[in-house]
Amino acid sequence: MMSVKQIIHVLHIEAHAGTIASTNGFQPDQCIDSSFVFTRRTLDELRASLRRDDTQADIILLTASESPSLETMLAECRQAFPDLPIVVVSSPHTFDGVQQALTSTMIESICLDEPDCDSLFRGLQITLTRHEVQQQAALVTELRSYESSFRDLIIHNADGMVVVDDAGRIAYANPAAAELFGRSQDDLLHNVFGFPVIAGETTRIDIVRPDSDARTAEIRVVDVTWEGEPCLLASLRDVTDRERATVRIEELQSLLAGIMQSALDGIMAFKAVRDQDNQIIDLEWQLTNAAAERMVGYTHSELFGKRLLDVMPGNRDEGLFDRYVAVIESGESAEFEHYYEHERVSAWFRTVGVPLDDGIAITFSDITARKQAEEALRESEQLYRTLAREMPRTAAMIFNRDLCFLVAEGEALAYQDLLREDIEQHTLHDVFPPAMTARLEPLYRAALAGNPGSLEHRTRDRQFVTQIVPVANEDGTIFAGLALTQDVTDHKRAAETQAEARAMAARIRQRERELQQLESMAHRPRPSTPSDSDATEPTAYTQVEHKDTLVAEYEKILELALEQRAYKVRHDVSDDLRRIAEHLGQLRAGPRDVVDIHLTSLRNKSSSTNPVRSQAYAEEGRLVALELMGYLVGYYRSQAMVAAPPDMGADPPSNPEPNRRGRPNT
Amino acid sequence: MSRFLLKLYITGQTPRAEQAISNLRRICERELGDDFELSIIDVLTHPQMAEDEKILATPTLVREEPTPRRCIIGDLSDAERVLALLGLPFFRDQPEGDVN
Repeated sequence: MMSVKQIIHVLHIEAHAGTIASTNGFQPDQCIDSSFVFTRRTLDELRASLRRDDTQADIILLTASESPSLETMLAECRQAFPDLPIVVVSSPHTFDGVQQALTSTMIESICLDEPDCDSLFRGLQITLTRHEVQQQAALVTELRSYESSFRDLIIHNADGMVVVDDAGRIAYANPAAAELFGRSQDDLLHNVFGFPVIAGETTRIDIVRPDSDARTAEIRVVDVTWEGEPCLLASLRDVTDRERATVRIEELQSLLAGIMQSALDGIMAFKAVRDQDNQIIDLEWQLTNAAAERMVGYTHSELFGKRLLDVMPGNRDEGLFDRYVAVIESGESAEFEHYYEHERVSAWFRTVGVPLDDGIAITFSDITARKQAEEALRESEQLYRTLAREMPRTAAMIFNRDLCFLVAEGEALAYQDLLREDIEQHTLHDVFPPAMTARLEPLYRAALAGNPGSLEHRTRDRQFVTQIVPVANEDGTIFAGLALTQDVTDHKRAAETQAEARAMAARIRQRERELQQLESMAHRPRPSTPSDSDATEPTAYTQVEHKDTLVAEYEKILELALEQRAYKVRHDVSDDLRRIAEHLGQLRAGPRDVVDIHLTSLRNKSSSTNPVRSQAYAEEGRLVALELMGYLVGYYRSQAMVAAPPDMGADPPSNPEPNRRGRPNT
Repeated sequence: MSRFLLKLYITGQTPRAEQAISNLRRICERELGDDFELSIIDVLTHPQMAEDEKILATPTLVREEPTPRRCIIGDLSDAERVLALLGLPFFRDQPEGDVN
């Protein structure tokens, strides 16, 4: 219920005389007292005076004698006191203007001129009450508007909004909350959510969804009134992606830190220090990993924030600082090797500088051991070259751990169609074709690991053997490998010739055994045996006239056989050989006689021709000699069969059965 | 004082879950002595249990006893508020320990 004011503070303004008056504590038994009339030039002065005197007014009573001054005063009063109701005491001169003001809601009510005190008081009471009712109605409207906006804000918010009542149950959940929880708004309504307890402004929680899709939300809670009840409004922002990204970043940072600290290379990062002219005058340490600490002899905490040239001025002396500045200024990375001998450091380094914002990241490794090895290699390089040049049909190649050839020397390089300048400073892959590289690379790497190996290979008609061995320095450290290649073509051919000679001798011995067997089968005085050629009784063949004749015939056959082979012509050498074999049989000749004819003929031929042709006579002569031997065996076999007793077997063949080539079976 | 039957629902062995467990143990040991029974339930391994209990988020602490049932959401780092919701007095002059 609204109370009716019993004391009304009236601000009485008389407009007609250009004066302003106020009256406090207007009561029914009081009338407007002129003693309260203050003369003020403006309403601003009146408002300041009221504020200074801590005087409150409930209503304005405006008296005007004429319309123009009334209208002006009304506008000024409304501007100066927007919250106060205005009652105008009208006169016949101002009635029209007052009516117009009432219509335009500039004033709340009017009263007639010179009302009695009681009527005026009641009129003012009614005006005030109506004014308050209007104001409350306006407030309610405004409140409803705010509430509607608040609901709209919650409903349409992109964040999940959950209103939780004093029992911890969900009084409302917006569509975004339903999506976040993977449930419908109806499912969430009246569900127990619980009381969010947050130590700071926000905290993070894991959302439990029916589909088990993991979500993380940032929750913030405020006290609100919801449908007249005190509630908690929990806003839930889906930070799943952000948290995953954060976790990933933390993992990467941890990984990076692990890599940094476990790296064998030293890593440092610097920020540029610039002067007033923006010139780089120094570098400030930002980061130093464990390997760098070991190499320069300072810890990260000793270096962080310090300046490079203060701690390690040798960087300027060695020209390194200028290189670093060039990297920062140009934005181009740089890589170089240098020797550093300052501030307790004495070593060779391989350094890579990479621009990093307004600074540089430097990666460096101690290559002193490699440099020393290379120096040792250079010293011994000449020795290897000399040795390789002096060794016949040999090539020596020295390679480093990158399988890059440092030295290549020796005449066998040319046999393999290789040039020294195409090998040195090139890698195995550059020099050899892929198939050869595939065979050599495992052996090269094995040698660098301390395990020697060898490989046989051919290039055109030449045969090579390559020995691959490790090369170590004085303390036994393997720093290179040596591939020693020898041309073994002639060795191989000699070995083959020896093997063929041994095979031929074996076949001759076999013939001798066959002849001995035939002789024993014949049961008659032996015609001849090869073993008798060593006996004291010579065969008829040894007579000079027979031997010369037979050697001459054999040489002709040898010539024909070679022509047959070389020019692909056909000569009937088999018939001639068969005839000589018969002749030899009649002379009781043995295998050694055949060999004698053969060797004598070869000697005769070789003495009158070049080495190549001699070699051809030797190769073709082996076959001719074997064929002749076969015919001689056949002759003796036929003679033995003829002389054998009837019960010894089959009819004696006139000739041995020829094989496919027309030669007797041996 | 009635014996407290508490269930703490967590999602995996995350730092957030570990923090909630640590905070709750500290509160219980200091405020409840031996008068409590605590179960820790991982919703990843017991999803049906979480669904049956209508757990919407973790960490959630459920006071099953004494009744009425009451749920608290968060990492439980605000010990004073947690104790108030559990229905226990909070004495500022006693050593708090590091619950934050």
